[in-house]
Amino acid sequence: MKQIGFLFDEEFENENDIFDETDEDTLKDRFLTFNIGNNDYGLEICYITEIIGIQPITEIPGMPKFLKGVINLRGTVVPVVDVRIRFEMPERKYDEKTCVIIVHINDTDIGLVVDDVSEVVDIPEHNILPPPAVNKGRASRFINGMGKIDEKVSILLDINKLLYDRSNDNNNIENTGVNNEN
Amino acid sequence: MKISIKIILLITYSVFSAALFMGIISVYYFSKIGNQYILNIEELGAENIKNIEQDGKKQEIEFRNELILKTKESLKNNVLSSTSIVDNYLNSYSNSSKKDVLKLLKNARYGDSYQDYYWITDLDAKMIMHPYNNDLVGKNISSYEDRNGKKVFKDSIDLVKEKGEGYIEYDWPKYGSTGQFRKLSYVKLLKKMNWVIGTGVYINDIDNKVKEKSKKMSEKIQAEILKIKNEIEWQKQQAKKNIHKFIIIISLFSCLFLIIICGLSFYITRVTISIPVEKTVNFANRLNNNDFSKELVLDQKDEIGILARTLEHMRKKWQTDVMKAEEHVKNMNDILEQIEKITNEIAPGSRQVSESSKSLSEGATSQASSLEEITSSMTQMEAQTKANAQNALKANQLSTEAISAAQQGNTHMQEMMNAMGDINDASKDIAKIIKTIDEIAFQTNLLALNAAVEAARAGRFGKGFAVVAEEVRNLAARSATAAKETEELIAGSVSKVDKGSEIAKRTAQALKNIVSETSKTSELVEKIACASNDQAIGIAQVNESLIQIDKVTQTTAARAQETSSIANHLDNNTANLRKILMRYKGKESNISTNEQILGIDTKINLLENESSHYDNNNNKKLLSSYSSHDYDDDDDFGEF
Repeated sequence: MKQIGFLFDEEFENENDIFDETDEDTLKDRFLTFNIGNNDYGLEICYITEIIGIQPITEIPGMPKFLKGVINLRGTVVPVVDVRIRFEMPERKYDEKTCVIIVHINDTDIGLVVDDVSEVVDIPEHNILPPPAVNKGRASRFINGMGKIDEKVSILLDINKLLYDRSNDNNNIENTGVNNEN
Repeated sequence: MKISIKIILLITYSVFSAALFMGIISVYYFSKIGNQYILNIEELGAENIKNIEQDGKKQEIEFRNELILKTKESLKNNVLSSTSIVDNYLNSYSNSSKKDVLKLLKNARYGDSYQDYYWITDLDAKMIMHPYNNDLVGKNISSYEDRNGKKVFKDSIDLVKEKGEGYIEYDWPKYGSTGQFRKLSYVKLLKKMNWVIGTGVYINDIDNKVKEKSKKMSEKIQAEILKIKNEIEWQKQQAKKNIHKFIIIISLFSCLFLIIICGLSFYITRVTISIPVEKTVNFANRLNNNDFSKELVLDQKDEIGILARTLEHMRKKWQTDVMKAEEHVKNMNDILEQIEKITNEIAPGSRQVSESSKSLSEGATSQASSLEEITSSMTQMEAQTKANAQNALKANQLSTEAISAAQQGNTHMQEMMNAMGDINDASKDIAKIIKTIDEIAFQTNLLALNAAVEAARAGRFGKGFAVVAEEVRNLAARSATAAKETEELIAGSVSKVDKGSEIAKRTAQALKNIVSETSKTSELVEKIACASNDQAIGIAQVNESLIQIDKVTQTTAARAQETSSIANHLDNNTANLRKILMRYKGKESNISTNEQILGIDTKINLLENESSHYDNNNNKKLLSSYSSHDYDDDDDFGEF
């Protein structure tokens, strides 16, 4: 409790600075980090609506492999994408730590299945580096940049490319989105 | 000189003389036959020559006859042709031409020298025509005679009158030469004119021809005869050569034969006579040197064979005799050696006996003293044994107590195991609870994250909320880690409980083993107690026996002294016997086998006498000394 109180004090000290910023500014530079395999990935918080535990997934036949199926989120049918498969990494059995990140993009809710969710962090712009120019491989096209957090490096993903990029890709994610809307 | 050489010389001499005799005879006969053969050849040659000569003569005569025959034929033909010509002529031209005919015939000639001619007479022996003797023409020549007195014309007219024609032979002067020559003529009557037409040839021509021919023939014959003579000479030479060759070959062969005969005879004599005789001689020499080991085997049926068999028989007989004798000597030597050995053995033995009996008496006294010590230690032992029995009883009680304690331990152990099972169950319950806590922590974490997201979305108004959410998240993380640690601890305690229960099981087993082992021990202790009691009784009996042994030891000591004195006596006697034996041994070493054999019998007799004498004396003495101790001989001499 003492710690929390201390934190609050700090908050109040910087109150004037905070008030100067706009709403958009508050959402900027904030990222939700999660784990797939041994890597940390980051996703801009502005796209994220909520995080839920793994739920039973209804599979839809004839869809691309990474589109695992749909889930029922409080009455709304939400398509679910397995990021592992999207990254062409080996599949892994879901456990109690597996989470689904619900993102809202282009007026559509889409679930992203990840191994584990870590935290919500601030990464200032000067700590973000451009993606390495060396590897123009499959998964690297989804990368927005490399965010430094203390000693670690988080791979910041471009959610649009992750979901809708069809270049160099046999799968069609847009169709699923359209199908879902209809 | 050896027998074989003698025999060979004899054979060689006889064979050589026989061969020489035979050779001389054969050479003589061969030369004779050869000469005969040569003579035969010569005779044959002479006969051949004779035959050839005769043949030549015969051929000559035949040739002459043939020639004469031919001449006769030609004469006849000439006369016939001329008469026929004259006849024809006369027929065609009649009498007027009589002179022409005569002229024709007068000029007609034939023959080799073209001088042979025709003449004509009439039946009254008047010469009508003659080409060479015109003097005779118109004259009666019936009385004409040749130098041999033959009336040529008269005879011819007679012949014509009788046969009409024919041959006549006579001598007549030849044209161009003096003297008369033999002439053969043919005369024929020409009836119309009563003329006798004749013509002739001189036979000396024929003879000349024949002579010429015979000359050629005789030359040929002479050449042939010369050839034959040469041939005969060559044959003779050849025959002589052959005879010489043959004689040489025969003499060579006879020499070879002689050598072979000599060799063969040498070999046969060597094999059949010389070697067996040598063998027999060697054998006899061996027999002479007393060597009977080798046999003589001669498979012959002659006198040498018989001699060999007799010698072999003799050898066998001698061998068996010698073997028997040797065996006797050996036996005697063995007996003597054995006697010596026995005496040698007896001497130290008797000394030992005396010494041992001394030590026996000493031993018996020391035995008595040690027996007393044994008796005292036995009584001590008895007391100890009794104490043993009591201790064993106590040990039995203690082991039963131990059994009950172990059984108690076992029940406690069972209880402990049950308690451990309970702990295990409780741990599992705790693990379930911890899982629930873990889940709650996870959910809380999610909620906190969602709150953080919401706070971020809320902008600066959500800032405080974000801090709270962060704090909640931290708490959730802490509770999760605590739950994880607790889980680990519980898992550790569960494994330890498992280990503990395992140990408890083993302990229970060990306790069971202790119970069973202890019960066995108590049984053994009981047995020990019983055995100790028995031992005590046994010891008492041993004590009694010891007293008896003591008595026996006393008597043994006394007996040992007596034995010692007897052994001394025996020693003296043995020494005497050895002296006697030494005397015989000394004699033996310088005597040859034959003498040994002879001497052995007397020696044996001597020995027998002496030994019997000795035995009698000693036995009597020994018997008298032992007779009183007969009843316990085994006890006293068992140690020797």
